[in-house]
Amino acid sequence: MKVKTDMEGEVAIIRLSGNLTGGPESDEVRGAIRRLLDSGARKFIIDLKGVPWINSTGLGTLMAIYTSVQREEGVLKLAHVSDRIQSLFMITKLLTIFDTHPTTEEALGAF
Amino acid sequence: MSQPGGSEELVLASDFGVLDRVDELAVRYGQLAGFDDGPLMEIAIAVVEAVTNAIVHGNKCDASKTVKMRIEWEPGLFGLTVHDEGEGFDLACVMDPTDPERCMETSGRGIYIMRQVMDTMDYEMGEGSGTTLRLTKALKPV
Repeated sequence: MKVKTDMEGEVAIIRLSGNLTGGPESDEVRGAIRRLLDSGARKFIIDLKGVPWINSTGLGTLMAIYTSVQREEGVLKLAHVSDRIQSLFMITKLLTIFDTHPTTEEALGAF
Repeated sequence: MSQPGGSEELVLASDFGVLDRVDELAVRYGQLAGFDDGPLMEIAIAVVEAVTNAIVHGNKCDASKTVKMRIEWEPGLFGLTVHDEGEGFDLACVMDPTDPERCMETSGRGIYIMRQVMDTMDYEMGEGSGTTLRLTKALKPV
């Protein structure tokens, strides 16, 4: 998995590519968010355009990130959520937890 | 002439790197069984979850242990058997991850997900013989 971070004003955009399945990539993504939180960022978009699917372990990674961001009074939005990931959110009744947007631009506009 | 059915068996390493291949096989054999779109996606979700559970909870990510997977298909029916080398667990103790008190947990959703998307789910556990999971899904009549 590749993790690329850009700042758009005060919003950190974390672009992922590859599947999020609970391997070392999960630590990498969580580490990237942790470093951004430590540097003062509080607004985040995780862009999942390059992530066709995740499993329950990857879902756990997203939950851990959501909790970390919430704990520090930050806001997390997701963009480009695939049908399969959306379906997983629906099955696990997490649709109301994650704030999802069709594109990164729309997620940016929602802050 | 369409094929009457078939099966494939694999021995997988206890490594998340196998999941891409597992996903590809689920989609391929699900398509051969006649599933499309939504149900095919559900099969792929369940197969990936089954192997993930075997790696994480069964084999505890121990690289010396393997996961055996068998996919069987026939027109209108998809079946999966996954065997790990773990000690098993009490299915009755598996909590509902959608319970409002547990919905923020970072783990414990795999079995719930498989139950939601497949028609049958059976676990067989024996002392020292590992855990075997069987899942099936049948094509719904239109």
